[in-house]
Amino acid sequence: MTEPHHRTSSTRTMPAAVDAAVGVAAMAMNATVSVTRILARAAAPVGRLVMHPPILNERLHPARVVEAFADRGQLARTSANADLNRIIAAVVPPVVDEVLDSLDLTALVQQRVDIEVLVSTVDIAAVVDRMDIDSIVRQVDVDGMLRQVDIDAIVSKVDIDAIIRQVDIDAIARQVDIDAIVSQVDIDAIAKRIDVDAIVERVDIDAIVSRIDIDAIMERLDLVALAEEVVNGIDLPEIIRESTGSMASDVVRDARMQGIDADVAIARVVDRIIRRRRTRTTDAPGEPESAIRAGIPAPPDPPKEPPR
Amino acid sequence: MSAHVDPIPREARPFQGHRAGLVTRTAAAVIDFGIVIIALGVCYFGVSAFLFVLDPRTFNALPAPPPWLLYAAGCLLLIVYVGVSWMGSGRTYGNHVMGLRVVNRKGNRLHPLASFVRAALYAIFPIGLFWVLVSGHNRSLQDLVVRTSVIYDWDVRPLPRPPEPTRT
Repeated sequence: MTEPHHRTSSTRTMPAAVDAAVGVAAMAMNATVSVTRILARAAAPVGRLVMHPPILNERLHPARVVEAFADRGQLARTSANADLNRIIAAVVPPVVDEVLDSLDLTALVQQRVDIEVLVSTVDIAAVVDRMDIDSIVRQVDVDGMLRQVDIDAIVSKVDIDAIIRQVDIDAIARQVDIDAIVSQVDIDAIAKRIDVDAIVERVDIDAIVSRIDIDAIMERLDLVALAEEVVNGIDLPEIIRESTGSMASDVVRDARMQGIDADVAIARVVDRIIRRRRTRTTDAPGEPESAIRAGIPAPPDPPKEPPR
Repeated sequence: MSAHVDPIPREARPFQGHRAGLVTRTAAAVIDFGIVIIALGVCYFGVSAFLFVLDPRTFNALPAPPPWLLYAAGCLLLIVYVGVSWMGSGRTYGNHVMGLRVVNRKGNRLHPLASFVRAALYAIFPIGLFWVLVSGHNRSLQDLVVRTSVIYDWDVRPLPRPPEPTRT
């Protein structure tokens, strides 16, 4: 980038003669200044002697006269500066306005200012350190900003699928303490709020049943043992006897039971009469065929009283 | 495995396999005695009919056998009847009605000899049944001699044969 203040001879806007004259004048000025300095250093003792002659009273020294003139001159200069300031204040603003109006500052800055170099010289970190972020934040009207934000428009532009694809759900799940979460859940309260009837109404029982392998379940069941348990529980023989039994079988059964009752009663009476201390042992060796076929274990002790 | 429905009433199941008392056994004996009497009468009329068929012209009236002959015939009938019954199914008809069965000391069917000895003892000394009252095991004198037991067993099927002794 070329620097705008470095001008070459081909880009001069003033005549070469003028520049030459200015150059000569400058050289002459420099020479004059140098000579003057030399002369001043050489004439300094003389000047001090002239300004402060030892033979005169101090009040009559020329330096006093010079100082008086200097004070007067300063006063005149300051008053002149005040007048000049008033003149400048009155004249400069309209002039500057006219000048600025006539100039395209934006284009001029873009053309002549290297923004990047300028920015590179700025210490952003130092600037930030000097800023009071808290006070700035306190002055921000967050609610007002939020009211102006169109959340729906923002959300509609978000690609949720892309975000979800980038999320490692497994890693998140591994970090979740399920036990702690579950321990805080009131299962009873949740269960009370569940409308079980509504759920059941939505369940397709037929579809569920159609998927059940009934045959596999039946193969795992011991139907014979189950049937025996049911038969023993409902006393099926009694039902059969009541529904199909004849009068003769009822008579025989009653006679047998009455015989058993009489056996027990008489044995008890005789044992009491003969003062038998030990209980009768009526358990016979082996098991009756009825008990063997029915799988009924014999009672450990002989029955003392009829079970009825 | 086959399912089995126990035909015995629930209230009678606890007594199955236990030795019976005097009342039930006496009732069974009475029934058996009646059967023997009926059988004796049948035999009497059968013999009378046989005599009538042999010589109808000299058959004037029913024969009047002496008491000892009747007693002997009755005892014989009783021994044969109960002996065969105990040897076979282990129960006479009286035992069947009252739900009783006679078993040996191992719970099996009686040996034929033991069965007939027991029958003979009952025919000769029937009062030995009353030892059941004083026995601590509900056993009669015949049971003690032959070492048998009379148990409640309402199942109508007969006992299986005792296993044959294995020869080594």
